[in-house]
Amino acid sequence: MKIKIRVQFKDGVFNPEGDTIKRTLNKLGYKEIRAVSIEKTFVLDVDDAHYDEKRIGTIANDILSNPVIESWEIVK
Amino acid sequence: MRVGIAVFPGSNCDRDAMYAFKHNGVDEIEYVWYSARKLSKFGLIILPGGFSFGDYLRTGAIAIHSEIFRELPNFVRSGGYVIGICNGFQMLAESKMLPGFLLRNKNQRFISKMVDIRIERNDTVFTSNYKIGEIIKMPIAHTTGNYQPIDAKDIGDNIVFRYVDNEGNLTKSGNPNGSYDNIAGIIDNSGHILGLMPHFERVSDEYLGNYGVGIIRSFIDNLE
Repeated sequence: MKIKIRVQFKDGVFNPEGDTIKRTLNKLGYKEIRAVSIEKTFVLDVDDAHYDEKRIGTIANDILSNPVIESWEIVK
Repeated sequence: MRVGIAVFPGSNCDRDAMYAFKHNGVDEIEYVWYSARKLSKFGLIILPGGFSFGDYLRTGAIAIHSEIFRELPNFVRSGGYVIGICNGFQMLAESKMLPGFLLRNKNQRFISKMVDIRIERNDTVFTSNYKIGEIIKMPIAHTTGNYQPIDAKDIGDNIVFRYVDNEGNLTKSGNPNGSYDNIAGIIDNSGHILGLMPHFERVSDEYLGNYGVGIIRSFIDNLE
């Protein structure tokens, strides 16, 4: 089974990468773009027989994201 | 007091640190591979700069799950000291051994240059040989050095080094990466864990400048 985990910066954490892209888009005339944020998606191929959502949550929280600045969700 | 320099795949300032400490009189020093589980013979562990495990995921994020890192909290509890330089600072923040986090530089770019650093505290074992307010030059070389505290009102006492402009003032122009309050380095509440972005090990001899010698000498004077 393939499980997707989406990780993104929490609201209020300044994301210079997204901000740079936003400013570039604005400069190119796409003035309607108010903000750009960047998300990461991890795709985990999990052995069906041993799938345990709690363990996947631990991976997402303790390793794939830094919960101080990032939030995560499992996308099915 | 034996010093251990942690080596992760992708570390690239481990040799600089070895040179700097040896050059300043520390003979009992050796490299420690990241899979080491026993640190009891050491008094100080250096987490050097570089790109541990390619800095995949986030800077320092893979390194903190290695064996040596799992042992570090015990090591500190039993009296050990830790200095994280650049990537090592990123590891300490990522693991929450130091408060706060490091984001990409505000200008998005890798910055490699000499900066002016002001000493904010000299009551630590790492900085007692400096004067408060003393300004020293150290090189920085990083993309992810934009330090942000979790709680701004709690960080004041932890600040050891700040970026200043060439007149010694805390200004925006003196802040290379967008760090909150021009923070370049902090220490934990126990006084055992120091993290900083500038590479003091690269200015620790008479050829490249000896601004960083004070950190090594302070530590030797206090602990030996």
